[in-house]
Amino acid sequence: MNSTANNATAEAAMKKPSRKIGLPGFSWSWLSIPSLLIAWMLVATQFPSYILPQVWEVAEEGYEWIANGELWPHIQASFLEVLGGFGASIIVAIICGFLAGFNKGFREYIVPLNGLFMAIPPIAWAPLMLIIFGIGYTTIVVVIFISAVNPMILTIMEGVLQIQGSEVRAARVLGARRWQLFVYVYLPASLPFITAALRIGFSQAWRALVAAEMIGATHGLGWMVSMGGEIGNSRQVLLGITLIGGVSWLFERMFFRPIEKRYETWRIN
Amino acid sequence: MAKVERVGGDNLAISDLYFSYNDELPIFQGLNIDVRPGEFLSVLGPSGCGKTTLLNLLSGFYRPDVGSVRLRGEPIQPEDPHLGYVFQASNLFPWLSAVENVEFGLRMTTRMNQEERREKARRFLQLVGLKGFEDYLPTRLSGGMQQRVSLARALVLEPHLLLMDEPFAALDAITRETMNDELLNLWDELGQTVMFITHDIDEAIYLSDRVLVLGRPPGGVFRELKNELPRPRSGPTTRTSELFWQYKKELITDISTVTSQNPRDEAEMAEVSLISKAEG
Repeated sequence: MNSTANNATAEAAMKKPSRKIGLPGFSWSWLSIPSLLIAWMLVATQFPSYILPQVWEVAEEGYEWIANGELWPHIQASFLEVLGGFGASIIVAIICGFLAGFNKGFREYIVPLNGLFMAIPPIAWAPLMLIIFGIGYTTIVVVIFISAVNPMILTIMEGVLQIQGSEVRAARVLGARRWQLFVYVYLPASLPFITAALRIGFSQAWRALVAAEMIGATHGLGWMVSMGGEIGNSRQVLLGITLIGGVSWLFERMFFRPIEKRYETWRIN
Repeated sequence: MAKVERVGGDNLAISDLYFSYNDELPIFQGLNIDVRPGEFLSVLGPSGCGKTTLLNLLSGFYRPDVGSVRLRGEPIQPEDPHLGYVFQASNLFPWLSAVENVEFGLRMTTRMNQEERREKARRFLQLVGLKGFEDYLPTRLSGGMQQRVSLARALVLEPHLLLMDEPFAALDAITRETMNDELLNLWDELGQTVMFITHDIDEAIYLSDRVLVLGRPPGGVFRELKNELPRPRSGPTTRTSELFWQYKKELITDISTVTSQNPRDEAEMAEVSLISKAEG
C-alpha cells in the first residue's frame, strides 16, 4: 500500500497553488480614501468655510468635541441603540429563519410579511414610534429592529433551504439522529449564511439608526448631523457624517471580514 | 500500513420487493437479490434502470411498497451502524478537516473519547493512503483524495455491508483503476459484504464475485453473471485475460439488449419521475 501514499502525495503536489508574481502588498485600495480627501480639499477651496469647511477644520471640530467630552456620549448612545435593536433582531431572525427553513407552512406564512416590511423604508416608521414611545431609546431600537430583522430572516431561511440534502444523507448513514443533525450539520452548514445575515442586518440597522435619530432623538451620531444642519454648522454635519461612515467601516473590518474569511476556504465547493 | 481488524460481512436479502413512485410506472416488481456475507456484488445497469432507487431502498431512505430489505435478517435503516455508504459525490462536510470527517460517524454513534476517535480516524486515513493529509479541508483535496476520505469515513465504523453508489464515476480512468485496486485490498483485509453500483462494465467485472445486470423498469434483474476470475486480481493480468474479455463481451450484449428493450421516451419518463421523487 506504499504506492497509495505516493499517489496521494503526487495528487496533492499538483493541487499546490502557484505563487503570484508582483509587488507584495500593493493594492489600489490604498488610494481610494486619500483621493476622496484631496477632492474634498480642492472643492472646499471654492467655497467659504461656513458652507463647505476644509478637512482640517472638520478635524479641528472633532478635536474640540473630544476635548470637551461631548463626543463620547453621542457615540455611546448610538452604539447602545444598535446593540439593543440589532441584538434583538439577531435572536428573532435566527429562530424565525430556521423555522421558516424547516417548516413549509411557516415559510409560506412569513415570506409575504418579510416582503411587505422590506418594501417600507425604516424612516417611515419613526413618526409612528415617536407617537407610541416618545422621543428616546425605545423608539430608535424598535425602528432598528423592524428594518434589520426582515432581510435577516430571509437570508437565514435561504441558507437553511440551501443546505444540501446530500450532507444530511451522509450524516444519517453515519448514524446522526435528529438533534445531532441539527447541531453537527445544519448549524455549521448555515454559519456562512448567518454571517451574511449579520452583515446585511448590521448595515440596515445602522442606516435605520441614523435616520431615526435625525427625527426622534436628543443625542447620537444622527442627531449630531441633523442638529448641525438646523443651526447651520456645516463642520458638525461633516464630522457626524465622517463618524457614521467610520464607525460602520470599523465594524466591517473588525467583525464581519474576519468571520467571513474563515468560511471562504470551504464555501467554494 | 496501518493495522485493522477483520470486520466480516452480513447477509443482505432483498425479497419480493415492489416499489413505485407516486403510483406511477413501477420501478421494481418482485425483485429478489440475495447477497452472501462477504460477497462483492456489482450491479450494472444503464441510466434510468433504477440503480439510484435501489440504493435508496437498500439504505432504508425509501420504504418498499411490498417486500423487504433485510440486513442480517433485520429491516434496514439509514442509521444502522452496520451499514456503510459511499456516495457518488464524496459528500464530505466542507467545514471539517479530513480526519474530522472520518471521525464524524464515531462521534455520532460511539462513546469513544476525543483521543480514541482521533487515533482510530488517523488509522483509517492511513489505510486509504492519506497519511499526512489529516488536517486538510476537503476543498484542498483532489477528487480522488476526497473519495478516499469518503471511503475511510464509511469504513471507520467497521460496517458489515458497504453500499457504493458509483463512487469512482467522477474520477479519471487512471485514478479509477488505482482506486479499484485499493478497494480490493481493503475488502480483502476487512471482509465486509459489498454492493457496488456502477455503469462501468470493466469496473463491475474487475471487482466483483458476481455481476447483476438490471433491466428497464419494471424489469428487475435481467441477468446474473458468476464471475470466475481468480483472485487476487491485478490490473495487467486480470484485465487482459481471456475470461475478462469474454465477460465483457457478454455484458456489452446484455446492456445493449436492455437499452433497446423499451421505447426510449418511456424510459426517460421513468427517470423524470425518479428525479421528482428524489427532490420531493
